[in-house]
Amino acid sequence: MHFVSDTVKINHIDSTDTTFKITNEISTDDLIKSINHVGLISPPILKLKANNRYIVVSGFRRIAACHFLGWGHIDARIVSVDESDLNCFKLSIADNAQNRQLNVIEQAVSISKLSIFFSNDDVALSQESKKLGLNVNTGLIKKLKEINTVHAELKKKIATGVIPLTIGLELGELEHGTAIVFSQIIEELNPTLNHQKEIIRLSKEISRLNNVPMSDIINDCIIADTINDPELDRNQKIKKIRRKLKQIRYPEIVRFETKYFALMQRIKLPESIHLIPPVNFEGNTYSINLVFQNLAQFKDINKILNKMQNHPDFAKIIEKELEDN
Amino acid sequence: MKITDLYIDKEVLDYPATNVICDRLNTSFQVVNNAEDVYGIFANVKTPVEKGKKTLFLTKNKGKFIRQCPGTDYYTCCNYMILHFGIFCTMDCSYCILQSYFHPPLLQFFVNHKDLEKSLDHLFLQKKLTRIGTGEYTDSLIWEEIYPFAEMLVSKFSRQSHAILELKTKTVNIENLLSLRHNRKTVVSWSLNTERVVKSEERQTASIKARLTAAVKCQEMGYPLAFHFDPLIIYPGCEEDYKKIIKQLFANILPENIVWISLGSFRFMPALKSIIEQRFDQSKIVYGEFIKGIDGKMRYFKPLRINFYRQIVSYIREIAPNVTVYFCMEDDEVWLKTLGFTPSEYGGLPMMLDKSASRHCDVF
Repeated sequence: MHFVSDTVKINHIDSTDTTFKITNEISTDDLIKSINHVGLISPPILKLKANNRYIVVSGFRRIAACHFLGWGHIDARIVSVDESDLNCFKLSIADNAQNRQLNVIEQAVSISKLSIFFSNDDVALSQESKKLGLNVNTGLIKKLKEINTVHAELKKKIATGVIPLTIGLELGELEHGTAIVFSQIIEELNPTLNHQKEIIRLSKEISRLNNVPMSDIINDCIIADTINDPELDRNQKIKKIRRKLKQIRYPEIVRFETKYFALMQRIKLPESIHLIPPVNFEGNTYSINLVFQNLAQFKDINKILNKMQNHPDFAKIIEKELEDN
Repeated sequence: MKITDLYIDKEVLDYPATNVICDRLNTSFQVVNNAEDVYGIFANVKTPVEKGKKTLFLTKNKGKFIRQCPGTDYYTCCNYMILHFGIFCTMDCSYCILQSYFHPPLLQFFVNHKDLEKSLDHLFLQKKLTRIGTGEYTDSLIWEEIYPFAEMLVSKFSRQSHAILELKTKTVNIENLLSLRHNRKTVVSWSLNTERVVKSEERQTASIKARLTAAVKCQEMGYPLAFHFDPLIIYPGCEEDYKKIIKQLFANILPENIVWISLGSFRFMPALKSIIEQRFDQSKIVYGEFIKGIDGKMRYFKPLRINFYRQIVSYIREIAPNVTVYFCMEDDEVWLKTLGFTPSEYGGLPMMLDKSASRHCDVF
């Protein structure tokens, strides 16, 4: 690509034309300080258009900072009026991506603008993006394309990393008010990604199952109270909310598990004996972990195991007949 | 059968069945060099299942016509054989595994019937009691609208004494069967469910009343019958609804004409969940209390299944204590706690069903 270095009048630059803009960063405070201190290190890239005016390919914030500092002229690299839009997009993305890590929304804007030139070929789009310093695979491209449908308030939270991209997209499918409520819970409690997904999935399924709005589930007094409970720490709140949602979504499973643990408590196994039930109580294979350090301890365990085999609650556990308890 | 796109493999263009189907459909068609040409059409289709139900590809079965039904090690399988003559279905059931089983989901009818007949001849020569059905990868009778396939099969099975054919359906397309000499070697079977499930989950299927009326006609013509309560769906009030259907069944059909009744609760590969949510947005069946089973499929929590099966079995036993009832893909714990025995006490599930087939169909 051919550039010409030149000095141009700032008032000849049309910063309102955002054709090639990919950044959503508005603040120029840091840049103003830096430029004021050491000058403009990296000149913006402009494209010449009619009437000796320019549009910005890359460097919106740098131009805004210089304008703020009262500069009348600015050094710039100028691409020809004949340069294709695709090449200008490439320049814009590469110039930004090589200087800093683009946030998710900037990546989404970049992909959205580039994708026009690649129709539905995400493989080629991914390859081209990687050459420009934008490391996105086809799976991520698919998600980035979906971001455009997300409400601005959520986009901001995704861009700042408050909400992970996958969660943001999932919330984007919800009614706006509900999405914001969930994003606030995530922001406040900061659960792990898996727990975030679980909370949203359970709420969504309860909502569909019972024909109630998702917001009602969160406004359910116990969940709302849990979030606002000053006696609980963050992890306790997350645990309680997950448990509550699971209880509503899977009442029989939770009831069964509760009975199982109640029986286990009655058997009073020492820490040296750990009974492991079949996964989800689906299979029939139980296993026992024994922890001992010497023969005497092993003999003690053996005595307990002998007693255990005659314990009525142990038989109920093995037979999965928990109804009488 | 509403077909909007008909593709014909160039290899089968002159096959008799191809000509019959083209005449029946009376629609334009496109000749293709191979299956990939048809599959390619689905590459960018946003609703492949919908398109697949209206797109028919006439081709050859280049693999085996007779296959073992895919079971898994842990759960008890009945060693059923599949006669693989076609793929996919024009009806639209939310829970149907075929939506995610074939890629792309596309109606395919294999017209190399001479090869199919050779496979059956080979099977019959083995003189081994075999239960074989056509209703696993498609509905057995949807194709009757465009090709009288059952006629050939029923006649062929009637002339031997070792294998029984099961035609499993949710249609009432039995007219072609009624005048056939079947020699009790064909079992006609229906999938049954509650009115509520049929209404909400089984689009374009025949009503339960119509299915049972068709079953009565087959009974009158001496066909042995079977019924499949699969998938059983758990929802509030389901026990009463299933009781009603069971009563309805036995009000129409004599227990002694029933070769077997199978029970299977709803189970699905995890990938099917999003398809159901997308395609059947009013359906709630995927929001039951499911866990991941040992075969990787989502299944109702076992204690729930057991309690539910106990009810269903008691309803059946109350009216028909001697009819053969079996579970499709359950383990010994379920058998023992619901039926009071495990299949191994009777030589295994295949043996149980073989014996019932012997009694009802005179096979040995």
